[in-house]
Amino acid sequence: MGGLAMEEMPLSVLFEQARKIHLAASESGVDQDVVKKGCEMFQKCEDMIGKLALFSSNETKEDISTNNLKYLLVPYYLAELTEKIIQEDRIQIVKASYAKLKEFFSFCEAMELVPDEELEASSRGGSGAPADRRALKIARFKRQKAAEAKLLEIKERKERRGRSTKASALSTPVESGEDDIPDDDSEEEREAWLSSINLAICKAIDLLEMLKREEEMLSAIKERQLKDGEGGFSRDALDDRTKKAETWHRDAAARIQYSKPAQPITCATFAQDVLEGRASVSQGHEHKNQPLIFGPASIVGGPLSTERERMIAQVFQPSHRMPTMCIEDAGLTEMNIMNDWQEQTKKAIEEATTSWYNDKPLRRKEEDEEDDDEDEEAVMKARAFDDWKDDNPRGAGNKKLTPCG
Amino acid sequence: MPPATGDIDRQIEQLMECKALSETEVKMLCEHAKTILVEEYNVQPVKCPVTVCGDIHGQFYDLIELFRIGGSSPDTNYLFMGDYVDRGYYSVETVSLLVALKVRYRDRLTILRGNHESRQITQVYGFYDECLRKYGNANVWKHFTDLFDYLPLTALIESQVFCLHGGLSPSLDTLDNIRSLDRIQEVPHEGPMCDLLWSDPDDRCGWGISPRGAGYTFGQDIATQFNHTNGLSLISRAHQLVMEGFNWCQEKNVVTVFSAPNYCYRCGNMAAILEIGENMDQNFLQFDPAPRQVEPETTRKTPDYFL
Repeated sequence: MGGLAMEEMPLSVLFEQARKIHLAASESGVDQDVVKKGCEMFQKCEDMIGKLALFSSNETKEDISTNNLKYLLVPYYLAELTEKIIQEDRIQIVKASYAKLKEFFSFCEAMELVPDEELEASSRGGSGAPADRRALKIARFKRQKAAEAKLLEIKERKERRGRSTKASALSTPVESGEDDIPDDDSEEEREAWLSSINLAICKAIDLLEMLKREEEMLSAIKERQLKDGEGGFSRDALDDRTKKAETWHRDAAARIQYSKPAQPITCATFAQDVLEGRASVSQGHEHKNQPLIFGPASIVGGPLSTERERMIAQVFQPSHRMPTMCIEDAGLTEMNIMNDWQEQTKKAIEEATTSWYNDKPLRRKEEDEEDDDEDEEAVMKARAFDDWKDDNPRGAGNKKLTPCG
Repeated sequence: MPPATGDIDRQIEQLMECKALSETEVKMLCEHAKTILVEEYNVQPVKCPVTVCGDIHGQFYDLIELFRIGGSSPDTNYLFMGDYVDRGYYSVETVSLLVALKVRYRDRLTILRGNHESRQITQVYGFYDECLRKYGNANVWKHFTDLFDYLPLTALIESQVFCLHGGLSPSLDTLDNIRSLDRIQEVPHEGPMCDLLWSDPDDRCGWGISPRGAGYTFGQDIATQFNHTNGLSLISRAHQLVMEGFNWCQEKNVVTVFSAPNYCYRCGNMAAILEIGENMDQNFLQFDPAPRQVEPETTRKTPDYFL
């Protein structure tokens, strides 16, 4: 960091140094202290810009001087850098960053820097048909790429010129065309900063969307945490299902005393009754299997009255996932899948065979002809199969006969 | 050292009463069975007369009923087309009995591999849980699933009736193709070996994507060509629940046999077995669930002295 204290630095120096931190942070990631320092610097920049009254709401981008144009980016940089701060309460960070981005966006809007399509989309509040959103995103991506290309081009041009002026300065110490260079420079610089702002707008819109979503997620988690009254949300979320399952198995020890499973269907003729429609399978019985109970004999089937007993019952837990449905339900599910499949196939076949001539009785007279056609088709098929059979003699695939066992 | 015949006979007797073997006995039995099965072919030749059976799925008392209807082993020759375990309450007893019978009467009984004779499937559909429940550890499950790798994939009765669990595979046109498979492994997620155990016949022509997520569906054209190429008269397979216990399809090129009555103690279907006589004549025997269906004790207790 420069020798001067932050308070004594002029705005341009402060901005440049803060920008360097921002660049380093977004390229490779830097120390948290540096990030915080960068944030402070940008905040200081903001203060100074406010005090100097560099921008006014009744001017547009044309009215801003090239030198001041870059300071438009301060809230954007601040937002990006703020987002990189790591602290316990992430939601605060997200909110602060979001606010800054909004500020940047609305100021750019006032300066007529934001493309119309984005303005329209933001006024709609991010909703809209998925296709529109996708088109918007693609357009934004293209703009971003264009801005990046432009910046690169300007940078290269500058470097080239730097080299050539150096070379010309070495060879001819005479001043040649120095007058037009500053002019060109300032035009170029303006272009460069405008491109940077365009790029920042694209990135800001994306980041705004992301932050909004993150905030929603974080608030949802916080809400749940408040409801549960305890901390450690991630662990909670992850263990929730496991816990539920464990409780179920543990409680089953108590449940099993009262819920003896019903006997399975025992009547040999029942299946026949079902087949012939005299009985329905579900009326056989409502069989709900309790899960297997693991644990010492005195615990399983006994009342779990003390905490110690509850804990003992918890020790003997299966090492694998327990079934989630009883055999009977699984069988029914499988049967339903089979039936569905058979029905679908039947439907497909019907659709395939119900063609126009079956639907139109008017064409009865031509049925003979149809039959001929069909015959022809069958003959063709049979002929093709015969040809195939000529190439593939019967039994050719079963040559390596093995002795009978 | 193979166990003495007397030992096996005693074990069969015990198993017929639905009493599971000890862990050591299972281990010995599986070791012995491996030495028998490893010598069998991918397309195991079978002589008639033989009775062909479909899925059993751990419904032990229905298997006993099956033997009552079809004749007891070894008086009747049997060919089982896989899926002995999972779903039912007695996977352990069912598969133990069939393996014991195989060891005792190797020429009178053929057992093929079904898609449930696999480590992955049994962990989800009940056999693994049952082994844990009945033995307190997974060793028995391990012995059996190791043995399953050795089961033959298909059988061929008198060079005419081709028997397998699932169906055909687009990568297997001939029986000779099947013979060249390296079968002693866990059932893969895809490929020819998986297809044989997972595919289903379909009313649509050609190959189709199976709704099961493994194997394919094959149309009548495929089955006709396969039967012609390999000189077969019929493909007999299991794998699908059919309400009548058996189901002809694809103009009698393919038949489905399902031998678990009232599947999962709920479906209300009949079971069937296919008798193939001395002159290759075919006869279906249908049967209902066995009258005796006792649900086993569902509670596992650890003795108190563990604490």
